[in-house]
Amino acid sequence: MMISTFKVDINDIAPELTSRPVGAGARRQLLALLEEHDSVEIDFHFKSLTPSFADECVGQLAGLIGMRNFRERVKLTNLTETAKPLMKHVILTRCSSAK
Amino acid sequence: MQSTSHEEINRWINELEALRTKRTCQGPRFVKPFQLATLAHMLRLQNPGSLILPEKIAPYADTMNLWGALGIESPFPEKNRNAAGRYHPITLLQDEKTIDAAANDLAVLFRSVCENAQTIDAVQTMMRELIGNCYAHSEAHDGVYGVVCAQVWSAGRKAQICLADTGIGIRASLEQNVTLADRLNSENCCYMATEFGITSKPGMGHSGYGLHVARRLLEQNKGVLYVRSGHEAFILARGDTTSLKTRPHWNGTLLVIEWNLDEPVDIGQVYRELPLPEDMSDDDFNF
Repeated sequence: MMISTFKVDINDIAPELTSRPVGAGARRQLLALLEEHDSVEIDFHFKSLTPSFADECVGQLAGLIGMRNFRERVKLTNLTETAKPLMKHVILTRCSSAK
Repeated sequence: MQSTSHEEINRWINELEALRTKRTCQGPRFVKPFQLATLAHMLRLQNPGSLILPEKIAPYADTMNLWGALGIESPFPEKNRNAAGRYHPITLLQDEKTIDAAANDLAVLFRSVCENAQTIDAVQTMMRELIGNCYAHSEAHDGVYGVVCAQVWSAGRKAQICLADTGIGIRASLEQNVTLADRLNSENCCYMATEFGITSKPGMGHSGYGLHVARRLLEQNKGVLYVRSGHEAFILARGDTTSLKTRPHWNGTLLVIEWNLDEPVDIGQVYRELPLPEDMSDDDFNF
């Protein structure tokens, strides 16, 4: 069985990785891509991001599609060592509150 | 440069009140960014046609763009303000799209005196978050959401950043979140705002990271975080915290951040220490 994975450059869906409005716009684009593809791989290029952006873009995406779906269909690559614990936090927090 | 204290800030805010009501006040002996940012914040609301400062502090005020921030002509010739110098001049926060640029300008200033890239990234991220909060929570109606300015003291190994927003203040903002009503009846709102998860807009996707991250970073740094809004203030200084009732009233929210250039900070550690939901574990991610 063929699995279609779409690779997304974070720079193509978010002009900066700071504000909630931009994070929300990126999340909407990711949701649209998940409608069309089995999985999505997001390349963060080791860029610095804020908690608000991470929460709005990735945390709320995970909350919307659910933890299991998120783990199976969304891959985050090239995160800074600093961003990794932040991403875990926003994903777990949003998935817990969405239950 | 001595660490900034509540008493120092309170004394100056009382002078600003005298300036507002009597059109004159006693200037400080040693001028810091917080004094100029708050002066700009207060005078903007008065819409002054001119400003006369004592000779001793006027050149510094001009370097910090006080007249420019007020939209009135400076008595000094135009000058080039070098981003990698010792000062970050008073900047009006008017466009949400410039958050990164404003935080980056601060990072350029700090890179000239601090070589620790992890620390610079942490301070820059903190400022992106806090400046972003001005736009997200301030509810300004005149197009200006706040003012920011900063200075480094290379010899004293300290830096100060001041951010004064023009919003409705922390208490009025948190009162929009009905789940906080009981706590607001008995607790200091400025202290509450530094806790993780305290936000005015829980149903609108907000999480309350900004001031909590700032507080944890300043704890690591043994620096100062001063939060003042309305009749309340919270200060973290060298690890000790104090919540206060204050006078006079402060319109909006005032943040004074003072950090020690030689004390590294790790924002990743702050994130690792954020509380997780009880039913969730963080050991099963592929990144």
